[in-house]
Amino acid sequence: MYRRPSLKTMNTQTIAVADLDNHTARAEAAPRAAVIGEPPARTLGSTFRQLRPVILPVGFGVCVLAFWEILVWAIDYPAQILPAPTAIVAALFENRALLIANIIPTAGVAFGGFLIALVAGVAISVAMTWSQYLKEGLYPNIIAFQIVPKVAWAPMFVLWLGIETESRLGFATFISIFPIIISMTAGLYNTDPSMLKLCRALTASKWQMLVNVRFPYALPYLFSAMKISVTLAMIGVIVGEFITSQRGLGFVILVAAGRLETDLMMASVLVLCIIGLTFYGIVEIGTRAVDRWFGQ
Amino acid sequence: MSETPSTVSRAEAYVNVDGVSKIYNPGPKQVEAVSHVSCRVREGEFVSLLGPSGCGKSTLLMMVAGLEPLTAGGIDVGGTPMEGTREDIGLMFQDPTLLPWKTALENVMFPIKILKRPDSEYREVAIDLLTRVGLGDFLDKKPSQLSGGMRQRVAICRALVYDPSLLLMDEPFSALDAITRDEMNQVLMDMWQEFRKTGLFVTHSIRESVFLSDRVLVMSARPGRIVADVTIPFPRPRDFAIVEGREFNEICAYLRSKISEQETTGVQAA
Repeated sequence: MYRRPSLKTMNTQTIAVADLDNHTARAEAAPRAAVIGEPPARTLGSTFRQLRPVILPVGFGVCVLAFWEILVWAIDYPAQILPAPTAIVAALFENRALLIANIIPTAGVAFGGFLIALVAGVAISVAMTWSQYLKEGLYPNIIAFQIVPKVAWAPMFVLWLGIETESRLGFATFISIFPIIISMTAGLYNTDPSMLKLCRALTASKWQMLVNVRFPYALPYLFSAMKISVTLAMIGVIVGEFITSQRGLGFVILVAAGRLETDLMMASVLVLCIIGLTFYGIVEIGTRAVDRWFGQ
Repeated sequence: MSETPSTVSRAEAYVNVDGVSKIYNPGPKQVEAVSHVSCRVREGEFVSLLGPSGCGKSTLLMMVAGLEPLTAGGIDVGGTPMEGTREDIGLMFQDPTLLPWKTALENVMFPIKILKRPDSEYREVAIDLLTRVGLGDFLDKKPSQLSGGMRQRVAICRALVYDPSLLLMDEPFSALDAITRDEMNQVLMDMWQEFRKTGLFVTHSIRESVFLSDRVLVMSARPGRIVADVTIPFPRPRDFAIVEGREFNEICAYLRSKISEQETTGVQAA
């Protein structure tokens, strides 16, 4: 039976362990007879343990921001080098029209590149599953190419596809397609061998095996690759915008850096962060749906 | 004890395995998995292939299923030589081999989908089968919501739903715990009583082979050969109570001696 550890089960385990700790602590503190039969009361301690996966990371982030804020104010650090978090939020608000206008070129091209990479990557993987010769010829080359730092190719895309959206879309596709091909191919090949034997015994065609067995088995692999891929597509677009663009958040960052408007730079990065999290969230929703479908 | 090799005439054989050998990696490093095996199974007979791990009994079964090419010899099923896989053969593996995203009913219906038979005609059959093995209330449950024994029950139903004439089972219960295994033997026995397929069952459990079979073929360690052909005399339908009986245990002891005899000879030869 195919199993994949999911974040959901990991969280329940954490909570279960926290509960266990709680019970042990109570058993030690209270007389034994009082513990048996008495439903565990919701104490402040148990509430904290249950919310710990939320409280700890948020608390850590808040502490870092507070430290940063205080430090900048206390030593009167130059805002051109490191603006305070409140100054960044202020810049975000002040330049909201500019930033919003530049979200679409960046996010749109990134998501477009990701979608092309998704469709093309899946098609290439399926083709490699179809033909053993194609796989033997192509797959090692893809793996080898994967090792090359792909950002180095960005200027070539400008030469080939020009300075408009096409080159950034092309580069975003290029940089984000590798995880899709590699994971999807691994997924298509990792189908339960007994299941494939059963299909052969039932005189199933190659196409029937692909549609009914291999492809669904590969879906969890595809979704974990999509999480990486969507992030890489964003990197691809920003790099492209650094090289040629006249708009987009990468362009805003570059212009702001030239003018030493560090608060605007950081506000742009913050917006990129939000876009990235949104994309990741969309893929995560898909991943959970697949997990549910797999009956996990 | 009635050891009666080759009593099944060619005419009454439904499965006819004739001088079959299997050699992996032909050449200096070749491995001979099965060596000149001949056996016959009558129509409606349940025969077990019993032997130690790695004796080639699973390989032999896969050759009968048409999933492994033969190095030498020939196999025919129902009078037709085996050339590749066929629709009239049902398979069960050690693992239930269910699709995790499909419900119990959908998994049973999987062969119908692959064989492109009419869904509506077989739906009732599938539900009836699942109800017979006690899964009537679990039709819509996914494999992850079923226990190991329940999953193998689904696999039994899936092997029967398209009405194959020959059922090939490759150690189907060896991954289960002892209690569930006994339970599954009873389930399989009841289903077999009902549907009377020709059955070829691979196992390394002596008790299991005696309880289920009309005949037990003992295979030697690699390269696999058939060294004993023992007819099991218990009338059907059988009840699990027979495993406590004296005759049952005598047969088990006899089979065990046949297996260990082979192991000793193997050591001497080596």
